[in-house]
Amino acid sequence: MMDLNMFGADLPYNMYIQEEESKVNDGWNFDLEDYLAPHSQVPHPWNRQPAGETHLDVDFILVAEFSELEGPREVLTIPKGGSSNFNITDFSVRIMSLDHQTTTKQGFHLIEDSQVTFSEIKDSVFAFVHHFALYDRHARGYVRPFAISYITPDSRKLLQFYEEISQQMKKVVRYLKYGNKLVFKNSLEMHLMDLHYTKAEMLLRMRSRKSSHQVSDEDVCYKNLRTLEANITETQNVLHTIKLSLVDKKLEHRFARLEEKAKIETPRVKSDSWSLQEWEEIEATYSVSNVSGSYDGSSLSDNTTGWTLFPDTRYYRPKTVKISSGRQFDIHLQGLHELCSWGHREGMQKLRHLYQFFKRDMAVLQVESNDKTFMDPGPSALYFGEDCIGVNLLTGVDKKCMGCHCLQADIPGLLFNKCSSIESLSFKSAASSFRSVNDDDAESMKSAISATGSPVVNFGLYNENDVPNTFELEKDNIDLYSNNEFIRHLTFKIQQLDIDISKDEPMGPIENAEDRTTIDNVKKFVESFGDGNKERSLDDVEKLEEGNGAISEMVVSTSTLLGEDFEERSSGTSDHEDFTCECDLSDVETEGMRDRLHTLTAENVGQLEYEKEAKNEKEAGSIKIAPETEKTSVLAQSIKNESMLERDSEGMTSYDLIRLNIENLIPVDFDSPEQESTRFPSNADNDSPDADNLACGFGILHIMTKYASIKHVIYSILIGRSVIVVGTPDLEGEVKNIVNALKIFLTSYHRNHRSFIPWTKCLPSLYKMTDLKLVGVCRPERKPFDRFIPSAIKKLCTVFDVKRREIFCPVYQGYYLSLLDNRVRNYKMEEMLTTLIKSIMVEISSKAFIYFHSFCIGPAGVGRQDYKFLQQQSSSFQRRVSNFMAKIGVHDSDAHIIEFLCETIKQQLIQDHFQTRASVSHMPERPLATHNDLCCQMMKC
Amino acid sequence: MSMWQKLWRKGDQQKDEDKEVVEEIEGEETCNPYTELYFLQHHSDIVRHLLVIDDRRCVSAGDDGVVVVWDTQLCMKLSFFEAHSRPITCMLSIDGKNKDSNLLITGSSDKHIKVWNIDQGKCVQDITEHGTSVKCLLPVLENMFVSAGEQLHLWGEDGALLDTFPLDKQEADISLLISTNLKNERFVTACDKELTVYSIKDLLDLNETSYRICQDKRLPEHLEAVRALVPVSDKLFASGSLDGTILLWSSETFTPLKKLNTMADYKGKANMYPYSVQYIACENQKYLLAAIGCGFALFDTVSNTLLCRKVKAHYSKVTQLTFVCDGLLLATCSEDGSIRLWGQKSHNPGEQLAVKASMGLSPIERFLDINFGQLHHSKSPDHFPEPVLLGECLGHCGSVMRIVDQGLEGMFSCGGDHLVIAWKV
Repeated sequence: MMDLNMFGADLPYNMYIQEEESKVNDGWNFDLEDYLAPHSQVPHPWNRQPAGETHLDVDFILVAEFSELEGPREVLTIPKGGSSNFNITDFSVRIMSLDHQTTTKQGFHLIEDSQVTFSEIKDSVFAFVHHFALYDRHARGYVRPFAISYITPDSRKLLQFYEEISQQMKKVVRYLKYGNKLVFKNSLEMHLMDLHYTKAEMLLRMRSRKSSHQVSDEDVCYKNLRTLEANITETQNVLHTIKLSLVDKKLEHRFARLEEKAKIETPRVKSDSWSLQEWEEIEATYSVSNVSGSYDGSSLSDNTTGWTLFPDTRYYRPKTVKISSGRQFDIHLQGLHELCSWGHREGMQKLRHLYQFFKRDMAVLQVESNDKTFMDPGPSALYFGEDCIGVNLLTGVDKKCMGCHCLQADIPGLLFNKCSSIESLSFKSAASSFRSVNDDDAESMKSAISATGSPVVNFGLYNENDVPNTFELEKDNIDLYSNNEFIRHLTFKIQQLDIDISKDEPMGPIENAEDRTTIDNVKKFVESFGDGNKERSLDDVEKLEEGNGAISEMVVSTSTLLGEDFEERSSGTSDHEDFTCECDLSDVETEGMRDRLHTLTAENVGQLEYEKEAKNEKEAGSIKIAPETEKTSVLAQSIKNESMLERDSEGMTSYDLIRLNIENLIPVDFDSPEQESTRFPSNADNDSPDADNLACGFGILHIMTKYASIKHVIYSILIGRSVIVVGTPDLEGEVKNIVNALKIFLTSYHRNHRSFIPWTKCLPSLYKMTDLKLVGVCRPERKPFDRFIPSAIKKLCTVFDVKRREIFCPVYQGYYLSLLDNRVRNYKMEEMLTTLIKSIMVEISSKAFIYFHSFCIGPAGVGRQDYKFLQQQSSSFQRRVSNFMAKIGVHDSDAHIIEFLCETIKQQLIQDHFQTRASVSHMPERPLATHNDLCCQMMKC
Repeated sequence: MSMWQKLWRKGDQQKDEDKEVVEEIEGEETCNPYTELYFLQHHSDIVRHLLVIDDRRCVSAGDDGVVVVWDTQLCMKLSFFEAHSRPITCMLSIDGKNKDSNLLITGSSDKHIKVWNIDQGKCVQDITEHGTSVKCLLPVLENMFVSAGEQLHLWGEDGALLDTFPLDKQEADISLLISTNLKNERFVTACDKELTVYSIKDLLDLNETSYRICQDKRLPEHLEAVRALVPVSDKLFASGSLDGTILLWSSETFTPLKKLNTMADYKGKANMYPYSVQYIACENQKYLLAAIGCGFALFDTVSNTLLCRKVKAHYSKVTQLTFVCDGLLLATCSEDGSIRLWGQKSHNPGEQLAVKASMGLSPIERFLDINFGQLHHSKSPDHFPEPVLLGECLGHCGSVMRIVDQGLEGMFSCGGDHLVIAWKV
């Protein structure tokens, strides 16, 4: 037991504890008054059970305060009530006694935080305590000490995650403290005004009374005045110190934004929408007049102005204050929420996230922390935009490790769904997924998790079970999926292929054409891959487009794995196949898919085909249709919506319509601005929340239909050429939309460093263009275009002048983007177009995969280091490249795209190489590639 | 009037007649080998000097007083020295005592001369006795060097001051230094319009040798300030001045041998000196590459002929020029911010270059597309057509100060935009 004698104020507690310790076994036998006798079921603060068992069975977070009125007390716990068998009051005493803030400085000064871990091994109670001080004008020395502690029975949690907990605690406290400082500053300012006002009034009174009153009275007045003066000086000093420390403009903006938002939603501010449970817990009700004088603001209700963190002091009407040299201790001290205003809301939210994250079992945390290392896409994964993984080139994967657990958990994330896997892995994003969820309702939390676990093609509605019923009705409305010819065509293909691949295979009945497409694609791919020279027919591509994203991804993932283990296909691949499909499909489907892939990768494809068919028969009705139908039903619904909207609002542009549609489709929690800001913590504040809410690639349909030559710009992005979208200030919205839409094609999209800027006032310098690939730039109205863009930029970057609708870029002559361009008109729904785009990207990536493995790290060879042969080498190399490209069915400009994608992978590998080796600190510069062999043209669009 | 003048005049007249415009390159640049740019950023002011240390390293220095050592293969910063508090004016790379380390000597207008060990990345010596702003450095004899500016000093290899030459004129400010013979004992200084020859004499005392700088001769003045000074061969050195004149001097008798490129109206409109010589490079101890005004010219000092030239190569004055890619191309950099690549026109450039490349020729031969045998026999200067713009390297947004060819690692350039750019093949 710790010695608490140093803590005089807590003597009663101390005695209580010691006494009880001695008598815990024999119980109480004395005759005592009722109120003196301890309750028969007093929860003991420390574990008195034999070792290994503890009363503290769950983690919880305790915020405690050392109140100058009551001594140490708990302020709140997360979850509400804390642990049932745990005496929180006692623990508060212990915690608050740990803080040894001693200072020799005179006067007011800012107090540093301190963090300690606290362990009571005997009782198996471990705590991480963060001590900090909040400022309160009414408190002693203006300071009120607080402590947040994370209390757990598992010591390893604190040891293992010390850094993380410490970091997160600091963040929580940062919110609280900054909010508090702002409140404190406001309160001081108001107080200062009050004091000045009182002083003025007093002087006035003195002057008027001077003649009539006695000398003694005057003495009192002078004394009061002196006290007042002293008060003013003191307040001014404190105010000065506080103002100096208010430097976190970012946080200030955040609070201001919250306040703006709250003002709009004024009627609901205090209710559930802000989910501040603790507000109800705190006994004191807030009243404006308690704190300060009143506002004159006639337009705003008292309630709103009272809450404001950023009051307009002009409207403050000062009042006279009672002059006293001493401090009063009988007044009510403000609650935490009053002390910190918006900081409280933000901090508590963060604290709840922290709790939600760390309350889980140690094993879970450990597994997650292991898995987190795989969170970011591997260096060999090629990804487009925000949520489309083209292909994993699997260059750095250790083959021996392929079967082990960590990679199983990891690779699906890499291959398929960057977002979903990340959401469940990192603390930060875990927090964001818990955002709108209260502590208690675990049910809704679960659903939130599953919602974020939606696959790449972001419809987010996979898990609903009621959809298949409606499918039959909706089906006829949609051309694409009920296209009989298409199905017939596929059936034909399937038959053909089945004969090709396994002639001795007994043909099973074809239950579901869609399903078969997948298999065929896989088969075909295996075939074409094995025989490098065999060209893939265009039908294949078309099939991919007509199908959905999931199918095409299946194909590619299979192919990637086949590529890696080409030689040893028979042995170890089945495992990887398992998890590649796991993430993309719901649990039930996984079984089926897994089995099918199993069969495909095994040597004896033909034999096992039969089993698979049998399985399909069983599952076809219930499972196979599910993903398709859900999606189609969503589409159908939105098409309906659209037509409805068209009828309703004729004045609206198509863009608005799409937007409306999207907004209807997106789940509510997806809209939260914080989710975006956690995803891009670096500069989310700089961007308009408007742009942040939009999904990557939003508006692409509109952009592609509006600008005829946009495919050339897309080509530029896909060959790594920076694109600068230039517009005059009045075109800001349009430029932003273009950037937002085109970023779906960016290969270097990263959560932490963005490779695009939606709108900037000045042209970034050329060397920044190595990182920035897509920039929207404001051109001053009076500055002509040609003078605004320097020749160097014009040579190295693609320039899109929105005002004049001109593009200066290399011309695209190839298949894929033209295909995309041609098909745009067929699409009315943006989701379908983005899916098409993704499937095309996946298709291109698969070509890049072949090029990378079969050429770049194969026969491409090493160039001879000699100038004499430089030209020869380069031209012969170019010939070989184009020959190879022709073999895999890539021609003209598409070859440049493939080459760039492979270069991207190489670059990522280099980057990874340097990042994972701590000894090599300096990373080589990233080059900016120029394309001398491309002819740039000015074209209208 | 020499043939030179006639030729140049002819060019002038043509220019006046049809207002010769600067060539522009459109479309594909199939002959431009530079496809990757690396922006090397560290400097915070104009980068004026680039120096190749070895085939893996080069050094840049600029007005911010910082010296940065770059790895030219990986384009990484190896080390940097916060060398001086004022702009660095000159750099000199010499071998260390044991020949196993590279020493770099920097001179600056903060009156310091510092010696750096590049391998260890530290300052070996800080010489403060120069007393005035250092303008140029020159290695002389063995392991000694001369520093010049408003004063002229001779330093030993350990940084000891060996001798000071009292410059008589008050305004004397030596801006260029070259040594004129193999033994490095004699050197020429350029101070405004005037060239002066000095030599270092070793006086043998009883025990030790002491060195002294002696003034040998003052050479006839140029019309305007001397801007370029370059040794051509053992017997010859060249100087170029603001008025466009290039003088060839004998290194033995120190008399002017030839006068190239004299202009009557050299001042041009508004004293712009449109023909000023900014830079002279020497090839094969015989050929002079000169940056003249906004163009460049190639002279043969033996046959006294103008081999080829381009009057308007850039929009602004050419600051430097050098052969790159083993002479397949001539790179010129200019104050207009561009680096341009010049070569001979051919119908199938790639193939042509490939054929040329395989023949093991010297840069001049490759550039002119002719071997020396033919060159000596051909008398007509019209034989060589004007070089054609084959590529343009745009990357700098200020004037390009220096370019250096780093062989297989590509080309490096530095400029007024505080950047060093690596142009990779």
